[in-house]
Amino acid sequence: MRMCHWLVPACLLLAGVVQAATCPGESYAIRNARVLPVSGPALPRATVVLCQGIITAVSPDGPVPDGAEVIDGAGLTVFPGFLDAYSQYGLPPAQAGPPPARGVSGPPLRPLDAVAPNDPALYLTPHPVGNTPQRRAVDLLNPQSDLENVRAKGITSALVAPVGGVLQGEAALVNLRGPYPSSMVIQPDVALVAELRPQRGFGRYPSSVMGAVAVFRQDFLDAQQYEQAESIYQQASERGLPRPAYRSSVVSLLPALDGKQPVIFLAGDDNAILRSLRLAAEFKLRPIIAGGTQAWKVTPALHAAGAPVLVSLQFDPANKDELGTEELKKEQDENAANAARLAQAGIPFAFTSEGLKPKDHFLSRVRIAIAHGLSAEDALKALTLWPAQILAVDHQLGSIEPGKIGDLVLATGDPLAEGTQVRMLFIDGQPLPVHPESPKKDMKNKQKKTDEAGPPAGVNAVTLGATQ
Amino acid sequence: MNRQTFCLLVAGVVASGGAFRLSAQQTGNMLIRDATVLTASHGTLAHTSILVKDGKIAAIGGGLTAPAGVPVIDATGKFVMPGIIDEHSHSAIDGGINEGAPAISPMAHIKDVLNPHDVNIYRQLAGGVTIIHVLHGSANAIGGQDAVVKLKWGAPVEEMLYPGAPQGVKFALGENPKQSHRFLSEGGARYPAVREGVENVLRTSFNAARLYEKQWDAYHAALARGEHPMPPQRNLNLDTLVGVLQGKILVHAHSYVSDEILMLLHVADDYGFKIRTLEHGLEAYKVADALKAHDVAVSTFADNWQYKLEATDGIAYNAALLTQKGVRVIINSDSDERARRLYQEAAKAIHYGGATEEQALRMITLNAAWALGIDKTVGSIDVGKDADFAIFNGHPFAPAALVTETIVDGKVYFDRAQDLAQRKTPAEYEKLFKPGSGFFGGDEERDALQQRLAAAQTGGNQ
Repeated sequence: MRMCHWLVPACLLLAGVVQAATCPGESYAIRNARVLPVSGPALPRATVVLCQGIITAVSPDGPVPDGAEVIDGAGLTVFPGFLDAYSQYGLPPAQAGPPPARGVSGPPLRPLDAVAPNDPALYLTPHPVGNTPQRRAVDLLNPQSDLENVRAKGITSALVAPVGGVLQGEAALVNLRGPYPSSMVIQPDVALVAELRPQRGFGRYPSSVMGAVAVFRQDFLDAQQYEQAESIYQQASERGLPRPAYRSSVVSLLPALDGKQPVIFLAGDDNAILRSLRLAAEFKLRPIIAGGTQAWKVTPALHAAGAPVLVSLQFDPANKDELGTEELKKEQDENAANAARLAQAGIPFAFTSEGLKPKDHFLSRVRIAIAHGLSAEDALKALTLWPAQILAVDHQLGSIEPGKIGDLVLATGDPLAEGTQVRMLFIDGQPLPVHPESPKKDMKNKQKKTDEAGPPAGVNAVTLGATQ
Repeated sequence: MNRQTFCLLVAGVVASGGAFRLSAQQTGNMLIRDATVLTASHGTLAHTSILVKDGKIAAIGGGLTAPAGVPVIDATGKFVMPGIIDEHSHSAIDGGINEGAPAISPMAHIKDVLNPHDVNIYRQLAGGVTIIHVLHGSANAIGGQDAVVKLKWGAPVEEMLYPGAPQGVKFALGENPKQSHRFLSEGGARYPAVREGVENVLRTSFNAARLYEKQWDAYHAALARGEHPMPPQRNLNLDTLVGVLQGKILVHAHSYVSDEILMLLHVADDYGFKIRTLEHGLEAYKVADALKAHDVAVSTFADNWQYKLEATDGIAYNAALLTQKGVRVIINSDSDERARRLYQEAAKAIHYGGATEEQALRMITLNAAWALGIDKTVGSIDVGKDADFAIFNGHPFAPAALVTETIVDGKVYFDRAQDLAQRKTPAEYEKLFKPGSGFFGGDEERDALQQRLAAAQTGGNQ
């Protein structure tokens, strides 16, 4: 078993069927639970086996490995942990980057004799504030940040994206457990993140949306030039060519430019979405729209661009304070029906907490989307399998299948039903107790102590469903 | 008239379920029958009909009849003029009209940020406007690139951009580029901080552009010799300026004071490019001969001056005096509001300086088309040109005249009778907005109008 890699199908078979009775490492078995694999039909009473962090078996009454800690799931429903497809969990607060050095917020235009005369670009290209495509979420992770309340919503993994600037950096897919930054990382650099908006602060470039578009365009032109120059340099049979100047901000764009990495555009209204799609087409990028409140208005363009949408659960319009009650309700209803309309139009989408404050309810907003026409089945997929597919990690996450990472939720009922309480989580196959979503419920202090340390001793055969 | 009433009058809202002519199913074919036609190119024609085929003017004459199936607009007693072109507009822009942080911003592009839902598009159609020249603001000595937009209300951005229009770029002289970000920029004062600095910015920028052009020329020459040279770095700012040097990009220069206007002409002469239009040009009458010699158009206000230091020497006779000197004059709006009544603004050139009717007409049609490089296809009523018209119930220069229909590419985009029939009551409006939250309009007015359009497209048409 130790020799097996979970990516090798033969090993999966061995793990799941023949050798399920042994696990060389830490092992758990959840028995007698109702299991919603998401990738297939619900199993009314099944056993889920986790071995060394990986789901190794899902079956009505499969064998339990020797030495596994057994959890009696009677009365509980097990489903894949939710994947929040765009967030800042575990990242430091948004940073716009250092303020520009004095005098260079605009180009330091000087008389020609003070400037290197053969490099005109040097003094006519303004420096965009906060523009840091080379900033990587994996370098910023802080597992000590408040992840408990996120986990309490059933969210076990998330795309986390740096914020600030037009090209904001490289988003990473992480679990919300830790305990170390390195153990959080599932996939680094999953997507480049961009937002075509002005930077805060007077006199900061770009100060307009059209300036933001220009920043994006100039950066990708730079990347194209670098790639071309690098290729000429590598192929040159004769020596004597100048080597292309290395800039990490330019080099970090190459995976996106080459189509190996998608680009997430934060865009809410229809104009912003279309603007992002046009820019993606200009450089043949693979766009994903995040936020996308009005995505339902532009489904033909999304379809043509092959662009999935990471749908915000924030349904309030930006100008809600100006609207009368009737108009406000109309717009909230439209925004809440966004997901249902995308489903109807066949646009791939996933839910995100984008636009929500940390204390805002998450699942209750999913229920609002369901009330506005989305099927409960699609809603669950939009929290599990679909984000995994959109972010190309569905071989690791998104459903309860042998070989996938052991991110599970044990809850008292249907995942999206009102009143369902999360009793326990598994992240990376490790059990974590959970607070109820409402902070008024007790157990808070008790569980805080145990959270970092892992499961308390004697977790074997605890009947979690009994308190229902 | 308060703003709420104004909005009710200008833009009626929401389908009431009746027949509706403003339909996407319009074919671009029509006959406008028996009108007084103000051609802007060859005088005024009484009792004249205009036949439109596929969005173009097919025939102009007395005895025209409509082919089978072609709709007829009975314009008996009405006046038809070319669709009005607003040569200086900042309507329909998303997210800021200036990229004012850097000293120059020709990398920025209005076409990237057009908002086709801006309700001002509809309001301006209601004032007979069919094309607007959407300009970057005047915060930079060299500003962003422009967009020439046909007001096809309800169409996506791509269909609104006028395909025949050459690219243009905004320049600005004087106080605006000097004062923008002069003290408040986070990184310190932005250059320039004095008006003389504007010339320095222009010359420094075009020196850089010449070097950049040479880099690329050398690169292409090496490629032509079969070598494998390293490509120079693309620079969006310098790309635009090289376009100006090569005469491919038209310059529209915000300017007021006569000595700065002459400075600009000297800079342009030194670097071998042309200025297409002076925007505002309130002192242009002082240097009319130089402008005529350089073939520069002046796009100005009718009688608006004294609003800042540079505008002190403005006079209401500017337009007429320049016209007498043979300079092409345009009356523009520079305002969402004034854009709805440009025909009245143009009439002031007759009132103040004795311009002829056709001269005044050209100030909002053919001369504006020339400034934008599109006078071969729009700006007058001539066979072969785009069927863009404003139809009035009286002479457009008569104060009480109203636009009854506005036609773009042979399709009706504003119909006053339809608009009146479908307006909401004030009580209905108040359901949409919190009292005191500002004036009616914005997204909600726009949405309601577009719902009406959508209803028309899905079969509500006649």
